[in-house]
Amino acid sequence: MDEIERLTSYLDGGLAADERRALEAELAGDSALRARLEALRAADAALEQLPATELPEGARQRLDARLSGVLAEVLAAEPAAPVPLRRVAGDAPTSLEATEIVPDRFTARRRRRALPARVRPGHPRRGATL
Amino acid sequence: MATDPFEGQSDEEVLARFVDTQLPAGSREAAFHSLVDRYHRRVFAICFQVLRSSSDAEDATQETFVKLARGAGSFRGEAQLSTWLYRVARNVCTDHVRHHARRPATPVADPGELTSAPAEPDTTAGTDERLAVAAALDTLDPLSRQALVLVAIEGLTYAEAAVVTDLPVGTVKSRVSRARARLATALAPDGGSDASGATPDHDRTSHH
Repeated sequence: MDEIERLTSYLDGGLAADERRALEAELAGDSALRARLEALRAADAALEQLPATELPEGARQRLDARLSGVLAEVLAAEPAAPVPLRRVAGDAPTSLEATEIVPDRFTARRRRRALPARVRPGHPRRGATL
Repeated sequence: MATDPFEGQSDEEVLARFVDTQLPAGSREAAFHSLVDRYHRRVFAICFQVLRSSSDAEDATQETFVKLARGAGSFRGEAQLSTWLYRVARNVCTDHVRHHARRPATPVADPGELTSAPAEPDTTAGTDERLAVAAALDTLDPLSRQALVLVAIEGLTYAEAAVVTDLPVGTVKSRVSRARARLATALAPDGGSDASGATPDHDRTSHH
């Protein structure tokens, strides 16, 4: 891990305890390194000011309109034994494998989404005081 | 946004309801709309980052959800739905770029437009700083900027950003890391303080 990655990982709270302690010792004795860390922290804070992309006005209504026919078609499909998904003429090839409908494969496995990995300036891991 | 009727259920559980042919069509449709609620904005943001055009991104976003509706049955649960959806979005965008490759090159947008919302209503304080950040972001190469925006602004995990950019996670991490350092350099008050860790230019005129 080079210096930049060490510093950004430190800000993200992603360094192992021993790595963190080693970096903090270096920071204590190296004002230039501290300045680089602070510049990174400031840049992260500035990034936080930028808003996430918003949907254009009316985008949801236009999407719903586009989906209504598709959903009607999909929902009206025979609920018979597993059938190959239809590929509609004109559809570009998709990365989705056109295979079977197997709803029972969806177990009730609860997965907490790992989001967000948003950069959190100024919130280094507990114990990081520099 | 209205309350999610499937609040507390994972994306994968909601998708399972959509493909469950034992359920009434209305319930299944409601499940699908709930997934749209959860992912519409983020899928659009990803498409916008790739395509750099609001209308193209909207088309690609629609296409992504059409593919979700038609292809939901092929989702096996090995991946998270988010990752799966982002991969579809990336492929749709790639197809879009390929399909429109003969068009004249897309004009470069204004710096502010590149990273912020297409229809950003914001007029609050801090606009100057935002413009400065947007301008600084624009000094990054497009791939670094894209990775940084996806992770630091759009809130994707590194793994999700890796799917969108079709790069290994480690590559995305180091690219984001470097982009943060370059942004720090660009935003430094003196404009020249070197936070990138690169060796500063030695003053070759000062040798005695």
